[in-house]
Amino acid sequence: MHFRRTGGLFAGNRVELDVSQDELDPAGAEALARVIDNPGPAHFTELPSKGIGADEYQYDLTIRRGEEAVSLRFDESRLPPELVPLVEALEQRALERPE
Amino acid sequence: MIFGDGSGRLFTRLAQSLTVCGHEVSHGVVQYDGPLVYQGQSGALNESMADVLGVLVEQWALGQTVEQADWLVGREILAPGVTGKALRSLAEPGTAYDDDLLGKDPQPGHMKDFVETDEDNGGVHINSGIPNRAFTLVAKRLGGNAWDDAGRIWYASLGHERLLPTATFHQFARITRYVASTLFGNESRQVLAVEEAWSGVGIGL
Repeated sequence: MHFRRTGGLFAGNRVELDVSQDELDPAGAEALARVIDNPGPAHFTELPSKGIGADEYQYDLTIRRGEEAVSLRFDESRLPPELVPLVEALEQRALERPE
Repeated sequence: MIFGDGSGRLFTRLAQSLTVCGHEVSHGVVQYDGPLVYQGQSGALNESMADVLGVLVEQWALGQTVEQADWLVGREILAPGVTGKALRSLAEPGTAYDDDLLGKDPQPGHMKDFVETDEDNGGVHINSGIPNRAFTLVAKRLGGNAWDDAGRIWYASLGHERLLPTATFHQFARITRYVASTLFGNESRQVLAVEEAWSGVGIGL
């Protein structure tokens, strides 16, 4: 899957990550499995995604399974609760850059 | 409103910066006194207005003239070791930081360098460098206190009835000229300053 965080207070807060399920830590892999199994990534495409505030993070996720790909975009204040554990795991991994 | 404490690696406590606090509080002003949609060019105008009001808060608090001001947002919050001077420079967009971890400040200061992107709500924190620089050019040309004439023109333009929610930079620029002529007269130095400033960032009026 592909993960990208942009926005926030300034343009330099951008982080990006390409990762497969087996590369995630157990909590992240479990969070992804829950999203895929129930309700499924496509469920989130119908939800409101645009926040009303300024300086929010904007999250982009593309989840690929075989030939199928679902792309999601949510402002921080609109992130569905079911996606929060996955986004937190991906964000944490993306921020773990070598010093 | 939430201000983070920073991890200490890139940032320290955000609330210790008056320009950052001024920027965030000003977003409330921009949201309720103006129509600007937070996407694309109107979103960059929204961001720019919060930057302008944020630095004016600091300049007013410190009693700084245009010549004394450094036009930086977030001067106080970069962690030790980060190569940079602030989050943004209104006077010199693109020069605020250039760091191994943080990357390079991507803000343009001229329309020829406008960034087309789908991220960051269409680059609202990127292309805001263009109207930011236009404001500093107006203020520098007029001299004195930036919050007097330049700030008055910008704030009145934000609330002007002709400003569209999806305003482009060019549409906003035309309103600033109209407002300047209404406030100070058609042949005023304020109108000339506004026209020259926008021309300086590649927006002809």
